[in-house]
Amino acid sequence: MNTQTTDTIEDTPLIIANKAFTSRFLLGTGKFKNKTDLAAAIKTSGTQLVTVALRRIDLERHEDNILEYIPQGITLLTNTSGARNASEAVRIARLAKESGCGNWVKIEVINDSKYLLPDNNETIKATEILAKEGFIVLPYMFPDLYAARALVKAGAAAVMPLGSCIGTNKGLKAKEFIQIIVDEINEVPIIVDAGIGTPSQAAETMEMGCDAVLVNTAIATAGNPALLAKAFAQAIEAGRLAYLSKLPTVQEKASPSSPLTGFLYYEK
Amino acid sequence: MALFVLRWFTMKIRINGKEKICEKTQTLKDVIDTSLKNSSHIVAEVNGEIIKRHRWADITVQNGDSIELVALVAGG
Repeated sequence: MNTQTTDTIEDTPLIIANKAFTSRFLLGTGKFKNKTDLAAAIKTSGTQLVTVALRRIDLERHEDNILEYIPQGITLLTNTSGARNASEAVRIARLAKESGCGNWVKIEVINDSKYLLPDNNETIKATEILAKEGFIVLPYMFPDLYAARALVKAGAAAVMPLGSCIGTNKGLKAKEFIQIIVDEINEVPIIVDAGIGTPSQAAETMEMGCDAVLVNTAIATAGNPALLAKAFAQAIEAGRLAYLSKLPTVQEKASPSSPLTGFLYYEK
Repeated sequence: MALFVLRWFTMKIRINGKEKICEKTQTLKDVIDTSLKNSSHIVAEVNGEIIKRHRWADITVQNGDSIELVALVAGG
């Protein structure tokens, strides 16, 4: 009897900086209509790593503490969004650490307001400074192999290339260049961050051999964020299993899936 | 005269970019407590330097100081 079922296929956990995650789905917490939707999406996504940001507080009105909506046990990754250069990113990271959310930081350095493209050079500088200070640094980057290598050398705990521009839901526009990074960078996990708009795009990302996917806008702005978060979770899992299965290659010529009957021809 | 007395007892600081006139000899903790109902999740910076929470009561705010109060928020 064949006992080989999918249950026996054991995936290794995603390891970032010696910490193991069974979920390969990172969730961004921005743009949700309300905190109830966010809490529901965190739950259905099964995520173990969520991003937060740091902002000057509004003294005129009471603001909820975001941490009240994130269950204990989920690792927080503070985004340095708003930073325009390395020194601003470093300042934000240090403030975030002081806020008590740990020392995991997503470096996001952007000084282009039209396309919101990450500045790889400044990101490398910030990564080097913060990694030396003991931060676990996950840099968001434009998919460039040289920059990815420099980030690894600078002490990055993962490399997070964009799929397409932030918030566009366009998917893997940078696919070929992400594939190069996946093929060449083996020291740290590759996490595609930004632009992933549908579960099918997330599955495709995982099929390529990426280690995880970070999604925010697509889920936060969906009609039913919790439902889409669940769909993404299943797609990421499906894509991961497909990758582990060693997908067959594309063939130029057709080949039959069924055996020839063996009798529907004239014997000579 | 009134202006002179006012200046004698007050100072000008900036909190999160907004100018504020407050009494002299206040600690950072005093300033934060009068500005916010709940400061449990706040991080404070004075003139660009992070001041750890346990030191808030030890720091006397000076005329012209710039205070930043930040907190974690939702974000991608």
